[in-house]
Amino acid sequence: MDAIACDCLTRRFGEFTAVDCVSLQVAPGQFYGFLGPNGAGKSTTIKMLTGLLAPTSGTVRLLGETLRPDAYALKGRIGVLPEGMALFERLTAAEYLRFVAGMYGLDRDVTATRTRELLEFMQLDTTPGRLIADFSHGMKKKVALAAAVIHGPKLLFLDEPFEGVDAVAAGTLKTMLQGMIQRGATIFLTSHVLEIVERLCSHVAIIAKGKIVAHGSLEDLRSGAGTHIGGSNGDSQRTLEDIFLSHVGSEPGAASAELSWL
Amino acid sequence: MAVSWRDQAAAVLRMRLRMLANGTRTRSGKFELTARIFWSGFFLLLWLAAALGLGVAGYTYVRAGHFGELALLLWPIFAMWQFLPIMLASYRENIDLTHLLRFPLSFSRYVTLFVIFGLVELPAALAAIALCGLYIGIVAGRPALWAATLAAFAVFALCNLLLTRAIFAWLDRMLAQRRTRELLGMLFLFGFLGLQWLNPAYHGGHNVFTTTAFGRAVRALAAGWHGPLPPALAARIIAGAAAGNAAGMAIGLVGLLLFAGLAGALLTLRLRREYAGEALSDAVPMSSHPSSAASLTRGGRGAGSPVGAIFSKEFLYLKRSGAVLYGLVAPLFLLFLIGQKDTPGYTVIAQFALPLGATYGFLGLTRLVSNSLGGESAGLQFYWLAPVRIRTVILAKNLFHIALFACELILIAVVVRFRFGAPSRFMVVATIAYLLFALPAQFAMGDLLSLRMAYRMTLTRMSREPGAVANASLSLLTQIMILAVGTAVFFGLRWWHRPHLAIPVFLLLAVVSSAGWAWVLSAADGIAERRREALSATLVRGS
Repeated sequence: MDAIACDCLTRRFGEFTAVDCVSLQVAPGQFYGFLGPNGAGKSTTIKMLTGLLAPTSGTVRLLGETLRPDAYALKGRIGVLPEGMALFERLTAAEYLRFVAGMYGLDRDVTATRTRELLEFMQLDTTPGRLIADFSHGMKKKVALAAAVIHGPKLLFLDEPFEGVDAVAAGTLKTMLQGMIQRGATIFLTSHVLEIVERLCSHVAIIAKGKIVAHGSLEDLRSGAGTHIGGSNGDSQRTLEDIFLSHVGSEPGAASAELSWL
Repeated sequence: MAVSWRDQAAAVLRMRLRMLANGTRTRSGKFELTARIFWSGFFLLLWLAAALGLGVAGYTYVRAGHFGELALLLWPIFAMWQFLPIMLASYRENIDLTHLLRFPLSFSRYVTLFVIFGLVELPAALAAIALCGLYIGIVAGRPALWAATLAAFAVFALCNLLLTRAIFAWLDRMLAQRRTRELLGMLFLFGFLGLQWLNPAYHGGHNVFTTTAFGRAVRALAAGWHGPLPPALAARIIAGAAAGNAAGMAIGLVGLLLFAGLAGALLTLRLRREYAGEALSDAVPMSSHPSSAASLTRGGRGAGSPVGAIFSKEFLYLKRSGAVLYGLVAPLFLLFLIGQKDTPGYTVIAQFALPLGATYGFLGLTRLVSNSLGGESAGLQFYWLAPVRIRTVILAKNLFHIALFACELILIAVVVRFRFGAPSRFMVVATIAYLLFALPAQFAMGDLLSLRMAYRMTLTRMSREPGAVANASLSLLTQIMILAVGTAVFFGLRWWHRPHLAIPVFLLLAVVSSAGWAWVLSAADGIAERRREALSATLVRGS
């Protein structure tokens, strides 16, 4: 049973096709990186995978169950850090975590313990009276991540979790995520930072113009054995950046389009 | 490369005008646009009527030779011009003109642009209309005063403009902080409530507050304190011209110019520092002391269930939402004020004080009930991610609003008891029966509007967001219709000499409205699912 299985997932906005027949299988325990340039369809895909956006066509199965709007038991087993972070900014971090725990039906003792532990782990316990609205972007991200994991999800979706987070906090988050993987959780993340994906993820998919152009384990992609769609295989020592650029890099002739007046 | 002043000024002016024009755009359909045109026209007419009133009052005072009283007419304009920008700043994003400093701009140009920006603001436009009205009234009353009045008003306007920009420049950095903005907004709102006390305090009567030290103090202040301030100085110029008293005119003119000069100096001082790169800190102080575990779990150890969690979250939001609290307090306050025995229609008001108070009290909840998801902003996404039905979310919010209204109702009943006397037992039962009909109807319509006509709402300020006018108009229409049904039932049966039948009729209507509410709740999940993307686009995007 795959942790994530989507079949020909498509989303159109009027005439524009943002995601074009994307199919993915993510096995349990995988740390899966989803890469693509701006506007490639990463966030649209993750929104469809988490139920925030209805697909035009295609199906999504998570943890062996079909994702539907009323799949409440399934929603209780997944955690999501969405693009907009889904924060209630007029609450403090502790209040927000208690609210989220209540919505997931955690009992009061578990809520209190996990709230305290998460705030300490995320180093958000220094300003208990401060509203989330007054937090920096990185702090908000940490609150949103804490909320995404407070109920101990088996499957975690993270949309750009490291964007705006400082190096120290990013290190803390990486440690936490790797710990989750070791305990059997599955993580699906999008990121622009190829170095982070390369260091954390065991498997990668690259999306460009709404279509998956390469996917497989990092080793396979490096060695050229991964599934390449319209891309070129390369040297065995290629970095993820090389792989990424080989699939979604500069358009032919783009380099010559210089701004001569600069 | 030298940059011409004309080009820079034109660029800034174009940018400001585009911002004003873009502010009128609506993405919420024709109904919203129509409603906005209607209400803008309505408020413009109200302001024109106020300007006309000022003109008539100015004419009357001038004809009667009461030139000193002209200061009383200039005071509201002065107060509006100084305080409205602060209030507006408290509920909308400010344009930080220090961004202009990265351009090749001299200090004098920067100051000039800063002042000009104040001219292209709503308070300046409103003040110009009001001053025009007053000017026409004065000149109609005594045409020979046209030049003196024009000069007085011109200097008065200059003084106001420089003063408001100086105040704004000093407050600007502080207003960049959310807490300061909210605090100022609340002070202004409660200041409005405080102003309601001035009239009874000033005019005496039987109101208990006029016999207090506060009342006497207000009267004493109003009588003599404002002589050396801009409104009185402007009035002095006109009075001097009317009496042929050159010394009086000079005192007024010099006084106003001194004020303008002082304001200009303060403004220049602040802008000079800004120009040099200094800005008052808007950093939020960080606590360096880690909190104890106890403080992190303070305020409850968790809500335990989705309804409890939402109830708890709504309560915390309410605690921190100044504008909503104001909306809840204001009806009580005004009910207290109209409870004077010399109020016109006191007998009728006293008889129906409880149902009227209850209906009026609900107005404070209107925004919350008819746009219950509007304050969630990006948090709305969480409801689709959490293992909870939207119906549960809406129901929990409805229950919270009912609890809130119950508290409000108890306070209203207390105010009614002490200001109008105890209502009859029949009136109490009839009011409860009416509310059993009215509340489910309000919530049914409110839930539909929340799902179908949601708009982004800032709970900390009385802001007008895109989509708000259409929602508010329909919500108001619903309340009027519910009140019309209640009034028709009550007075129809009273006319038929069977007023006691109103209670069973209201209960029957309550069954119908409750069924409607239940139907809306049962349909909430489906509506929310169909409207998911529209709601996200409206409430989440840009948050």
